[in-house]
Amino acid sequence: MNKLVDGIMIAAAIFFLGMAILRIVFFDYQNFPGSGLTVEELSNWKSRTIDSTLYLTLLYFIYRYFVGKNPTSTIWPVYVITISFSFTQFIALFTFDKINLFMIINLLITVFAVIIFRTAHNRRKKEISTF
Amino acid sequence: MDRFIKLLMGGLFLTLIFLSIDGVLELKYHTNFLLLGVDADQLESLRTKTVRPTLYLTGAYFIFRYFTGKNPTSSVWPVFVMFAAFTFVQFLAFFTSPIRIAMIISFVLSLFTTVILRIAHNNRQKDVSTF
Repeated sequence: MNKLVDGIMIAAAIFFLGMAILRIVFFDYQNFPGSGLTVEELSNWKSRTIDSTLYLTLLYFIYRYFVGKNPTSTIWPVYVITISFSFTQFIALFTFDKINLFMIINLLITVFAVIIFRTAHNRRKKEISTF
Repeated sequence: MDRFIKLLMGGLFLTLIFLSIDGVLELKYHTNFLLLGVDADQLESLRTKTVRPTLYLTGAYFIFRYFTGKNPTSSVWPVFVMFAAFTFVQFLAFFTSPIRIAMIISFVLSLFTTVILRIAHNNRQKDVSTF
């Protein structure tokens, strides 16, 4: 299980870094092949999901700043990002013009990542005694 | 200074509530800001280069920290990292996008917020003894 968690964490880090570089340098790359969505639809979907994920994550941590002083593990922000992303994708299933396989697979992968990140957080929580 | 930090965090919190609702429900207020001087396509391109890489860079940073150290972090640190990443990608966007006054104002505001968040983090660090 530990190896699986570490493997997925490394894969996620490579994915995040790859996507960041792709967006910063090759920003004209706008569509995923096989997504079944047009560039405009995908752009619309990303506005509803990815952008909102950033705002929700920031909201959560500002809220935590006001309500408590306890610190958090370094994996907790990644967990919050993925759970927000799952939430916005779930809402998009009801508000988007169409539902396709790409959106459902993406949601399932994100939910799986949420479980793995939660497991990683719980592991780290046992190692440090500040929670 | 403490009061100013709380005011800034409160202001950010309210702005993010609006942006989250707008993003999730696609109310389209943030798809084209008035006075920005760019059309909807250019704004979409700008967000692709700035807002989305911010999320990816933040995810990559915290996974990196998960692997490199076990010390916890304050609840304001993720907000600081996001704003620092946002400032960084906006700086890069100056070299890849046509420059507008609104972009410069946004960059300066982000830089200012990043500095204030760093001060907020330092204050919080004194309150919790886990660093």
